[in-house]
Amino acid sequence: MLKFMTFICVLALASSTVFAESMAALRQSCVACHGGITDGKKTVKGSFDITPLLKDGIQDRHTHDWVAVVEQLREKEMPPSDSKYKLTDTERKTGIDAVYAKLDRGEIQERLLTPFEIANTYSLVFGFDREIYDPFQNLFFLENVDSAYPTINSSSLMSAAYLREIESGLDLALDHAVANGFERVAPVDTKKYRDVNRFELRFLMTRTTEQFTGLTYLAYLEKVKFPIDPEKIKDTAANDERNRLKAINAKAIQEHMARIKATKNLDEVDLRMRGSLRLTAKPYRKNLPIGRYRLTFTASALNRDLVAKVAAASKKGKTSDLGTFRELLGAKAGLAIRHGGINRSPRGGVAAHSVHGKVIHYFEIEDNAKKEYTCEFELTIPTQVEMDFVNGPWSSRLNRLKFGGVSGKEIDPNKYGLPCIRIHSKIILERIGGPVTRNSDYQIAEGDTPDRLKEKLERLPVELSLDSDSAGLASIRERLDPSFTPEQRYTQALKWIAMSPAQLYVRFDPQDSVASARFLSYAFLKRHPGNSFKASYNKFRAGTLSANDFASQIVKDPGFNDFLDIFTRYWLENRTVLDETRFDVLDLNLPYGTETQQYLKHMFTQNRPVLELVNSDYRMLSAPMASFYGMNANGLDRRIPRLVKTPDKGGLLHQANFFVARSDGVDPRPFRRAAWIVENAFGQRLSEPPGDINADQFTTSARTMTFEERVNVHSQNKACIGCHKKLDPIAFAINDYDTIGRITGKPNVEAKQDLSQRLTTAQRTMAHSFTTQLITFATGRDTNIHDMNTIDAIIEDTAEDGFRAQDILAEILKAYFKS
Amino acid sequence: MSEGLKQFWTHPSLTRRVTNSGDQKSMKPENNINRRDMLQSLAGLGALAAVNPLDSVMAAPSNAAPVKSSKNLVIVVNMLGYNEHTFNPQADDLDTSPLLTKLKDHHGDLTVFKDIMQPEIVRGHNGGRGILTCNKNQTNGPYISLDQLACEHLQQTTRHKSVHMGNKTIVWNKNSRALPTLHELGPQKIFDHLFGQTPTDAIETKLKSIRTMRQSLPTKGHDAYVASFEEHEQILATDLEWAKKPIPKVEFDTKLHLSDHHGRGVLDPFEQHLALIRLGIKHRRGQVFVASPPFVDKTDYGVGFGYHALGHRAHLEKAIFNEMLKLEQHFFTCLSGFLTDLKNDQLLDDTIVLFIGAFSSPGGHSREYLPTVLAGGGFDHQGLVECKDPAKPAGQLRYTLSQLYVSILHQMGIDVNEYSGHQGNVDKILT
Repeated sequence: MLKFMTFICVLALASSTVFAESMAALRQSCVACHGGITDGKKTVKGSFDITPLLKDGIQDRHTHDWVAVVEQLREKEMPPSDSKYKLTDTERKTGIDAVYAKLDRGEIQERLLTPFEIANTYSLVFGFDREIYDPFQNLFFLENVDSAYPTINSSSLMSAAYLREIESGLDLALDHAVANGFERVAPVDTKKYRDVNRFELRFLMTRTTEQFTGLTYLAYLEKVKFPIDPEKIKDTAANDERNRLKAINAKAIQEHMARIKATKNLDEVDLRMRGSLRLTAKPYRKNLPIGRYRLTFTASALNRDLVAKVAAASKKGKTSDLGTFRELLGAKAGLAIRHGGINRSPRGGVAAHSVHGKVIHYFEIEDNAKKEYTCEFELTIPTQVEMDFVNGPWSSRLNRLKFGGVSGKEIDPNKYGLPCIRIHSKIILERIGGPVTRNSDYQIAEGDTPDRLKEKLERLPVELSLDSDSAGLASIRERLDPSFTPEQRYTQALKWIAMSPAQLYVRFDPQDSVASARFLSYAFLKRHPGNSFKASYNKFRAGTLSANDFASQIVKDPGFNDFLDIFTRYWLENRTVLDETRFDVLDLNLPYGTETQQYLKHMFTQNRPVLELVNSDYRMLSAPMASFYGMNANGLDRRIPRLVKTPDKGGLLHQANFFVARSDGVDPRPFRRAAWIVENAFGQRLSEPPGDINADQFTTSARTMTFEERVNVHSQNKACIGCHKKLDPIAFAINDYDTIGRITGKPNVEAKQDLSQRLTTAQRTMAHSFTTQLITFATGRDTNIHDMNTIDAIIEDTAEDGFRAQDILAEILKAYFKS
Repeated sequence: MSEGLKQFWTHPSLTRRVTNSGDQKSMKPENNINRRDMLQSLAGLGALAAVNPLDSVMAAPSNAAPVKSSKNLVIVVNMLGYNEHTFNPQADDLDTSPLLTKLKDHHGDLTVFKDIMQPEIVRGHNGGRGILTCNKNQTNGPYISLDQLACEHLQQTTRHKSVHMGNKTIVWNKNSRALPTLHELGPQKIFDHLFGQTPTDAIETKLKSIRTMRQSLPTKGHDAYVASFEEHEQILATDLEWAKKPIPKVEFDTKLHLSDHHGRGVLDPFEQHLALIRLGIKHRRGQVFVASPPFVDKTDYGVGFGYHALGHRAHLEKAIFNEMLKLEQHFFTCLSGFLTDLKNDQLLDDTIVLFIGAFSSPGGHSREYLPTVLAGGGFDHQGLVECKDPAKPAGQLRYTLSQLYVSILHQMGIDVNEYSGHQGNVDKILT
């Protein structure tokens, strides 16, 4: 049937003689092995079925597959030399020409802004911090998880659902940041606090039952002592008697809470674990009013040497024996002040779209020395604040330390002098300025007249760099329903500009420098262009700023970090959600992606050869990642990674992020790792895996055979051998890492040496895939046949200097964006 | 270098360097083939239907009047699937299956499709995303899931046409985009979605301003934007209309009854989700529902791993296998309770229930022979249907999932001839 259909379709397409001629040879020579039917069974060798391509004709949606066909034809890899089917050079050329005629597209097409670009733009324009409050969270549901890149095919994002989410996000952003302020979402008892400039903060336990806290009653809250044993109440049969006993306990709770509220923060407080301790303004669970603040307290770190003693006593000397204390080995105790979310209820619930955990300030606490610590910060959104012992133990691991062979089921926290941070003083928060009244220039100020609002409104299209035709967008204000107030007209008109097609689509137009600057800014900085960016771009177009200097400016821009974050995530196809039952909470929350992002940032800013992506002698490490790898974290920053020399262990293939990205969240996937290396570092194409792989069989034999033995058995399969010849040696070399990149297995030394050796000579292929990925992100479309030529030229131009990252970026700017 | 390669490397496109897109445009070879024109001219050859699967399926809503259907559709997809060895009965005795025996009270009201498969499949975790689209290559599209396709054809006769409380990546709209789900928001949010009061003032203000904005829409270009904008406006108007209607008073316990507060997607809400669907159907708050058992979770069912990890290890040890079976049986028990409730409310004949696993081996992620149960809906149920041809067990299947989907749509009064480019239906065995 399929053969018949194929025949019919190809016959039908023959009405276009050009197409028929060019495809006839392919049909004859390729279909037999790639989609044809023999003896009632479909044959699909190498998992490549050409029949849909021939059926549909040369269509954009099959570009990837047509590029593969062209590559195979031009390299004469297909039909194979031992095949009975042959193609003449003329037939090859005809086929290639036909594909080029249809798919050779150099132009950069208009694209739709992605969820990140939309959210990022409006947080900058309307002045709210997405790390504290993100009204655009729901927009990300609509991103197609199967898109290889968020910018490719972004046009297909457009739907009523996408517009609805954009509008909802804008409604919230405009309501809080422009019209009514954040008090609506983050209520503050303004009457009570308007003139209060000094707060005494105290700790609030968020988990208070013994079942959950175990040893966490060490902050200053005492547990209530029930006059009647609750178990006894449960066993009481008579209702009246049970209620009477319950009432006695309830009264005790009330009195206990009253005592706590009346108590000043007099006692010293020991912070013995991370998380679960919330610092709060005096009346519990209240948002602090917006304003500028100074926080002061006295603290010291105690018993940190115990960690070193345990590490020294540990038989294996592994940092993993230290459990969640591991970050304290070689690093000072760290105390972070964080945003604690926007409180919405007395029971501690946070507001919708509120984001918890942004670090306000990070202190390193000195060992055994009482010292005063202070920091200043500004709150532009009323939130709670938290204080967290960030590199201390996690509660569930408090007893994991192995004290001379006694492995911890000990529940007495005072039996050993466990590491802690002792707060010796009251924690004082002083308001030293504010309240801050403005989130952005668009915020409605007291006394703003309709004319003044109109003036503000007209600024938005200019700030967003919309084209001159868009100036009229603001006029919608005049046409809105007469029942609207001037403020409503203003916000609704702002919303229309922000969700108009002029704003939501970006296009590259060589004749229009503003539109092109917008396109380029969204490509590499993921935001609308600022004035300095536009000025630099104009100089670049005019030839007064070199491509290298322009590239240098781009990589130094803070927005480039956003680009790198998305770029690395999607290049590694990182959709992994780690299984929370398999990994420690500390490992689940590690900043895996930041290491790769900062590594690439270093390569761009220092203009390093792209081969260093997979072959170098350095890493970019933050303290948590260093302790994860079992390295000394002393002197490393907790958040911002720093270059650390690690001979023979540098580059992506030693980064936990690579292993996480290429896993399934539960188990490691050595062939997924190997596939990435084969395709990107060595530039070889792999076919889709065949459909009859029996993973169960492979896994079950793990008890009796080594990984290498199992793979060798599997690779004997004729259908598998082609790809496995490329994959196996690499999979063997990196199979000693687990799902999250910890070294767990026995290294295959020979395979490792082979891989290292091969990587040293992979400059050209690595540069090729690096360039391809960058072009994809820059142009917002998949690379097509046209780009093959440009990529080759860029490779040639940058070869002499060793294919350096920033040089490649500069060449891309020249090739695609100069005008 | 061979002559062929020389010719290749001297191809005009390869001998120039991109300088600007304007130049490229002028240098681009003329394209002689207009696919649309060509295909139209070929319509008589009957090859059209296979070209763009959505074109033919989606053509109906724009040309035909919306269908007013009395049937509801409930799709329950388990993204980890069920183990085919525990699901499949021996011979035609459903009680021999430790899972199907949980549905004992409803064996007369259901059809088990043994060894059913999609007509084309992608394996692995991500393959499950195509369970309701029957589309092999989710990256290329176009594709739309069964529930959304039904909604495209249906006239709105309930508060919401569709309610998605299933896993994140199984429901796809006509733009081949994943739709947001209520899955992990908890029973209270789902209850509010179905029975909560929508403030009409806010919708009215929004609608007024949207209507004014529509007057400023571009008159040429950005067709997708304009169409989406108009659809958005239409949805708001419908929303407003329904928000003004009285809401039935419904009692429902939305509390999470759990002892483990740390996990997300815990097991208990599955029962609550099914109960909410029943209430939703009863009070005309929704017509098409998608739900899923939890995927990532920590359970308090006395098992040693989370559901996902359990799936990966079920084949390794008997004890783990039994834990997995325990969870699978729990889901079937929930289904049984749901069917009983529907029957008691006399809703089962008007409610098509499709209970399906995206894998037939939670550990190996096998996408062959998917465990599938069709219940209720007024079908002529068969108990067990063997999809493999007994005469040719290794040959083509007699019935495929796409054919079952077409028959489900037929039962709802929606006239389609194919699904995702695949022809056929199973009407003859179900009606």
